[in-house]
Amino acid sequence: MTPAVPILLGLTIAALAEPASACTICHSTASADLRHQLLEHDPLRNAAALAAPIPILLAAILIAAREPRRRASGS
Amino acid sequence: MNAGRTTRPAVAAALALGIGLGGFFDGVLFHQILQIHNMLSGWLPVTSLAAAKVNMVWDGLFHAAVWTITLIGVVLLWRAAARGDVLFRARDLVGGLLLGWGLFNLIEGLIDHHILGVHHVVEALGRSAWDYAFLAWGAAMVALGAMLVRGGRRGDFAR
Repeated sequence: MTPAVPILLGLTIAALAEPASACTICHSTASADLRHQLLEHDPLRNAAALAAPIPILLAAILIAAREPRRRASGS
Repeated sequence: MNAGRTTRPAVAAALALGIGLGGFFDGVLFHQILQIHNMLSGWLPVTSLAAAKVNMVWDGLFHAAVWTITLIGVVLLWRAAARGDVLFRARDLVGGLLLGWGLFNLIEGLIDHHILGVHHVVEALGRSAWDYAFLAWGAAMVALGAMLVRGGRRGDFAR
């Protein structure tokens, strides 16, 4: 066994022992307030506002990509 | 020499890339570096750490949306390159990018800044001349982009 294996194993176990400590939404003094505010401020209305321009922008891409019908070439 | 070839798929790809990259420009420069507004800063002013972090979550969702549109642009570009009958010209790339970026500014500016008021360009001022400048900037890019794309089509195609 190379020395890297136990080191990697140790790092993995250490990482597992601290679940999601990097997630400040999950674990921090401000986390409860943050979660509360995320849900309190009408997330559906916020999502609708965020998404509102997207259909128009996608429609612009579709229109730009649409090929004009080619006339059937007469023989 | 170019008879039977088309620029349309390349322009559509550039347009999608312009929308996506325009969105990233807005998000990275205005939301993150300068922090003059955030996604929800008109509805949820950034007056506390929690409010800043809520806005950060919605900024992230905005970036996820423009990332998806950028990916659509990459896919369209790949498909255009694979066709074999598509003409790729610098003026269509630049024109399409300007069209897309300008459209992003116009549509996002009109809906988010003016109709919904979900945020404004300089949030500290509320609705201000900067919101109209943002629209004018978008309109100028659309006009320049359309000029490049249409001019190229007229001049270079055998019909």
